[in-house]
Amino acid sequence: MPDHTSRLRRQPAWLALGLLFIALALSVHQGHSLLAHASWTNAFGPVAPGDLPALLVRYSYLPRLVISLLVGAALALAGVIFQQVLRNPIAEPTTLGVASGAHLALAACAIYAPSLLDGGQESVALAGAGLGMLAVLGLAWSRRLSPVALILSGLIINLYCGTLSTLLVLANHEVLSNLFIWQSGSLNQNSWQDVYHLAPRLAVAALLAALLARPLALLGLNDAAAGSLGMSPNRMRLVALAVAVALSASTIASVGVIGFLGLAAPALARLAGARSLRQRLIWAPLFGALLLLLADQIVQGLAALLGGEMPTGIFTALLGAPLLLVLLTRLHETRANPPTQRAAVHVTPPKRTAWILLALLALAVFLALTWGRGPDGWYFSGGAEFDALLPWRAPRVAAAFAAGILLALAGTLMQRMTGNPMASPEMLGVSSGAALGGILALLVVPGFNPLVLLLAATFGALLALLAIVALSWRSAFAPDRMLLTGVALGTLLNAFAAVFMVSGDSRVLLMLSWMTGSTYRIDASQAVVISALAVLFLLVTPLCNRWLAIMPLGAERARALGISLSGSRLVLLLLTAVMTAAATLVVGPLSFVGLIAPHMARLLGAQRPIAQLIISALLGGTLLVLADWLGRNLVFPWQIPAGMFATFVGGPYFMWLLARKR
Amino acid sequence: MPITRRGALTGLALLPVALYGSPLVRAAGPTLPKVDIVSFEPALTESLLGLGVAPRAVVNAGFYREFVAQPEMPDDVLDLGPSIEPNLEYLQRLAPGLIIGTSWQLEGTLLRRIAPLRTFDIYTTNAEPYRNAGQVMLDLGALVDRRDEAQALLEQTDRLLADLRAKLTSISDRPVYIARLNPDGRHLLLFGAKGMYQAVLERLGLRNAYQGRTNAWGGSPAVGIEALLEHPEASLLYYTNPREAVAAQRRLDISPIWRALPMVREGRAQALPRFYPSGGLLTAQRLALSITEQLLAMEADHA
Repeated sequence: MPDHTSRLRRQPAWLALGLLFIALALSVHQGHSLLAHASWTNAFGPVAPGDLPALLVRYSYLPRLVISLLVGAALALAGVIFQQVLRNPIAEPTTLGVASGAHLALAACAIYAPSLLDGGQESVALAGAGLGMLAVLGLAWSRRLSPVALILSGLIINLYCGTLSTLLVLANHEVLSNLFIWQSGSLNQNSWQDVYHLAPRLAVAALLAALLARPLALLGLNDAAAGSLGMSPNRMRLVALAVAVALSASTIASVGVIGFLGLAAPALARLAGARSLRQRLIWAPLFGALLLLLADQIVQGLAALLGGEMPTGIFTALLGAPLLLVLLTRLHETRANPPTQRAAVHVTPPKRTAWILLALLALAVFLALTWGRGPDGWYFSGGAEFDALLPWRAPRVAAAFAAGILLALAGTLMQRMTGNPMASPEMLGVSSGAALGGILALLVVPGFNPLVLLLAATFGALLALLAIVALSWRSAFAPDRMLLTGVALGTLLNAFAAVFMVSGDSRVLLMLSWMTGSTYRIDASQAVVISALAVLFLLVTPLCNRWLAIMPLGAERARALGISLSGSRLVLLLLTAVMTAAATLVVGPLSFVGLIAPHMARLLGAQRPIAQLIISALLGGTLLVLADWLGRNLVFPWQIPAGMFATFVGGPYFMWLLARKR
Repeated sequence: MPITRRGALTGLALLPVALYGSPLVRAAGPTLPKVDIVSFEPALTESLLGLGVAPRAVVNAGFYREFVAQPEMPDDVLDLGPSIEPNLEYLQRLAPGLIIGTSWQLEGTLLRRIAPLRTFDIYTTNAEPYRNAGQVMLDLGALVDRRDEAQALLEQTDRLLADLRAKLTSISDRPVYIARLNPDGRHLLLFGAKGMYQAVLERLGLRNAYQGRTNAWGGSPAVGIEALLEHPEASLLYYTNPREAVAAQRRLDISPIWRALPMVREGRAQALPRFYPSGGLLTAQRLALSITEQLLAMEADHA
């Protein structure tokens, strides 16, 4: 008997019915406000051209209802396929680089080849989505597409594509305003054409999924079992992935990016009792359809209250980020043993390396202060001209230098702490938290007050830190878990940035410039403060020497040596957060310096913690000074923000790191 | 919506009379005398050029040439780079006599180390951009010693708008939407309170059909095209980004809602050329002319 009732309770059908009921009630309510009950029949029969309410119901309200069902089902189906093929519970279009690849492709086409978009966005979006997916797979390939490697690869591709898109927007914002709306996913319809377009595609994908169901289920077990099917498991995976990417791209091209449905619907189906793949292939799209219908009805209901409509994609992202965090805690750690730090490539003694680096740094600072580009090309300034230019150049050079040091120190702490050479402050989500604070301040406070921004960003960084601590406490700050919270916080950041962009606010460019890490607005007093912080942390971090030496050896070893893991990790985490927040305010949320510098320091032979701290600080400072100098001058009279310039260099470095065989 | 031949004819007939003596039809060229001023704001650049002088350098010259376009800017005006981050070192080497811009561009910056600053604001909290634009023109006239020209431009514009208003009396009871269409064929941006479009509509004795929320320069958040049904009796004047016009029109042509919009069905929707929505007095002139031209063309088609 108890068996029977529990089976009944776990039937997905009950939950689906419940969702259906709520969604329908809201839909009818929404439709009713458009149309009196009496004329519902008019909306379905032939509509008189002057009957506006009936027209609205027929060509705006109903197609929107149907498109939300289709898009929800399509994204959920794509999610189930991605998750099954990649054996990864948080695989979906927005975490796999599919959406950001499509976005970059559309942005580039809008500027360089607008005529390609005249016939519709689908082929362009498909090409971009496919390339994004391939890049992510390529990066994670050498780590056998392990769940964590895949998600990190997705994160890096998202960051890189996002940076490139932002650069295009900064230089061409008038042309790309449409992309803001598209990026935030709006389901608004004024004809049935999107429905006609998407429905057959969904049908074909569903058919293919049905055909692939059995082989895919076997793939979930192991390759040997799948081999008995008479088809190469990898070819099968490729076909299934192609179906999922194509379905995502069609959806994205029609309505824009609707994040997290691919996560939420399969998760819900599983919770409701859909265990086998076959069950999930049936129930997840159903839940996806109902969830998006529900979300869209809520958005439309809220529009009446807020006096303006929030794009549905932003709404789902806001709901989805916490869900992602919950799902992350279930992600299995696939590594049996902690990675050991590799042997050094060079055997140069750290002391000599440090002198060489110091000389390089001096050269970089000298160049950055004395050489610039004018209308007639590069020129050297000395004497009185140097004195006149110094007030402009010195704060930027000092701030870039200090931010580089802080990020390098934070990165060293993170990599030592997690024993993961892929760790960096950007990945922790603290920089996203800081940027999020800044954006919320812009949304709430009128004007552009640097002080308000600073306070808000610090507050945001602290909140992000608290979230990380709260979420990682139970896992004793397990490395991968902590890294992945950054993914969720980064997503939340993007959702709010999108709210700001579609609001039509005239300060959107200022926000973009700040988010891309420009040192343009740094004045002398800010430069002094950030430099003082850099010096302070240069003195403080070496005090953690013992922890940093033992932690990379693994949790067991550390415990055996009598180190309280939670306690020491908490202190290191706090240090990391404060340093990251300070640096984020100067060079924005992404720079990769915190990743590259510590890693290069180790390649240069800095094995012991203090040596690594000092050498990576020197490297980080030099890198950002150079990035700032080149960014200021290369495209005279325009400028590339230092953080963005560093990303262009750091992104490929990180990808190389990720793709390298372990 | 194609511009009808009759519409074009009406407009062409209107143009030379209305713009007689305006800097818009005066041939521009490198002959324009230079003033030792750097302008950070396209609306101010436009006004200076209208007064017959050219600034030494401007911020984002490409933007002015593409989006404001008139009065034409001489080729030898220097470009200082992006509007949010003008190249300060370059500016310092130029050592201009004065930097002009809006308060939010200049206040709280270190630009005062390079040159004296003066702010001119058209889009302020008083929400009267047309009047402000006139005052800015007079102030700039005083600044570059062209008071008479400034006064003449102001009077000419007032007169022009009054003349146009008289032409529009027969249709002034019909509200007007002014929109920028997105190429997705689903969304548009409406111009309303605080912006120059609304100010010009008021001067022309017309009522803006859009009364909703707007940002500092009068643009609404993106809304669906069905928002136009709030005032089905209104006329619609719209423009698209030229690069995206094909995609937008293709989507609209097959949209039942667009085709069913009373303004579209009854021929009360007309394309406008694109204007810089945050322009100065000369932009106001061009807006007024274009709006009148299109509304009269519509009227003529119905007659």
